[in-house]
Amino acid sequence: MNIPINLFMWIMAFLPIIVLLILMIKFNWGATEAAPIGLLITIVTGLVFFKANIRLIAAESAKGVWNALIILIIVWTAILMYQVGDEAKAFLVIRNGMRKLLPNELLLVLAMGWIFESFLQGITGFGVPVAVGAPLLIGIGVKPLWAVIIPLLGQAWGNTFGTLGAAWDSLAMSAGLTAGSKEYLVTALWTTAFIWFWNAIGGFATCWFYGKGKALKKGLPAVVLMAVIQGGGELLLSQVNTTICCFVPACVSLIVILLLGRVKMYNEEWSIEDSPIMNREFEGQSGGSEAPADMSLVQAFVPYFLLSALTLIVLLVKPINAVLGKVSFGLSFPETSTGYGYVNAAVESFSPFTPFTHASMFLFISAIVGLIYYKNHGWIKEGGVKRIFVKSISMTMPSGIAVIGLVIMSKIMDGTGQTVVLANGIANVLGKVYVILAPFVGLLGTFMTGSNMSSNILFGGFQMTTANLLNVDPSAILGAQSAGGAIGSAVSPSKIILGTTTASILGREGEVLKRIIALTVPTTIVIGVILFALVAI
Amino acid sequence: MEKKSFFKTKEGGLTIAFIVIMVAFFIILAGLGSANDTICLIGFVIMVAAMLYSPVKTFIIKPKN
Repeated sequence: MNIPINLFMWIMAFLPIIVLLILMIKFNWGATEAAPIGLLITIVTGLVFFKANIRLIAAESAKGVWNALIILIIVWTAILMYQVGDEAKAFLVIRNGMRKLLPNELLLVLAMGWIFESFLQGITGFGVPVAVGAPLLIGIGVKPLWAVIIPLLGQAWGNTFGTLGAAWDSLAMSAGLTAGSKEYLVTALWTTAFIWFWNAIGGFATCWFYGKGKALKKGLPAVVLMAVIQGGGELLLSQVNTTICCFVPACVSLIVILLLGRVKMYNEEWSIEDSPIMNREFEGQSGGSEAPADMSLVQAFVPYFLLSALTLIVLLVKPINAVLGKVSFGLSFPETSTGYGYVNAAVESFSPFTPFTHASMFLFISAIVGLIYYKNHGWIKEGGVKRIFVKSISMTMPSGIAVIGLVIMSKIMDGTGQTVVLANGIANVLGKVYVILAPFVGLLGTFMTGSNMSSNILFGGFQMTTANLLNVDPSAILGAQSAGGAIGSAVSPSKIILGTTTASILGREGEVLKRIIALTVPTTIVIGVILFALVAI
Repeated sequence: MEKKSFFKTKEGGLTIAFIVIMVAFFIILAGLGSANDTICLIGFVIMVAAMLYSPVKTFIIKPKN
């Protein structure tokens, strides 16, 4: 590869991202409108300045559509599951039931917006916690905008070791870390330490949003306990088993928060009446009607229990996983290269889709079984089934364009070498100061690709090389990369749009991004500064 | 109240754009499979045009209505 890495090329590589951010944050454009513009700029810079040819651009676009389709199947099935619950008025039952179990409203918001999302992230990932969590929070009376923001923050910590460690495995692979080696374990330690920091911030931020200092004071013991269980538990378990080091603490925290609702400090009704995130006139999205009297809380949660059981069985029982994982199909792509010699190798089976072990299958089965279960109990009325499917499709379609646009954009940036120029440019100019920005590069990767795993694949090798060039501990830099990538999942437009879709506020992605970015970017900088102080001075 | 046809709504328009993108996707795959740059170009142009439906509709066509 001989792409010139200079200021002009760096600006050209950064242009699509900066335009996307300006359109969404400054001008409040929705992702559906902003993503195609970002894509158009990426195509122009790719063709003109990075010497890509039409075959390369077309191939990367097709890869993007394929990846986007896989994401969109999750979106549709998550929305389908939500629509099943909404049609049966299960969210009203969940709201009422959870309020009884957790009479403290702050604890309820923490449980439904942070702890439950952590649990979902531990097993499914791919944006499911955001897509599922947003309507659940709306169901307990949280304003739609905040019902998107809180799950985005709540799920982020689980992005590296969640989905049974998929993103972590990709980091280890791209950086050449051998499982169980000293470097592997030390990197896991750095990563989990940084993630723990973010995990606690997510909890405290939720309290702050709910009711500023008063809520922070009330929520302090609960957040500290949850952060110790989740972040601390992950750190300890990462030294034993990286596959389950997020899932196990996430499960434990879910149980503990329900028990916490029985201790003296949290077992009485408590709320902040003028909380800015709560909608006090909320009557539920199911037409404001009453919850079915004969539906218990456990029954309302049936699709979610099934989702958890199915995911666990299929992903953790190795023989079942091996059999179901045999059905897999991907697309083949030819080798392409730019005029600068930046090569995208030919692939036999690009990003293979394994339908029977994919999160969308668990969501689909859970939704259908839930639908049958609710219908048999008479909770889904005449014409309800048709309504569920029509609503789920018409809710999915608008987000489809944005997801496709964003994923194609990241693919073209990657395929034309723009991503590499971005990262190399930063490292070349800054020297050891780069360490401060190492987590930000991870965040940038997830922002662009929508996935901590993709960020690690994209930048894992680069971070390792840069660390060696700068003569700093690669384990610490890799830890910062993946932790930054996890934090970045909170600002990833393709994840935000999952939430705005299920929360029925499509088009307000800019508002969500504006609020979250104010938390995520300073956090990654703080992590970077800590890292700099520890390894680069 | 008069009920607006689904395909005349923004969601309907985006659904059509999505279908067009899918068609373009298969055209690109056919072009890549046969190593034909012209077919790739046709598919790619269709895809970009469909992608631009939303910003054009929202910021160019709609304000004139």
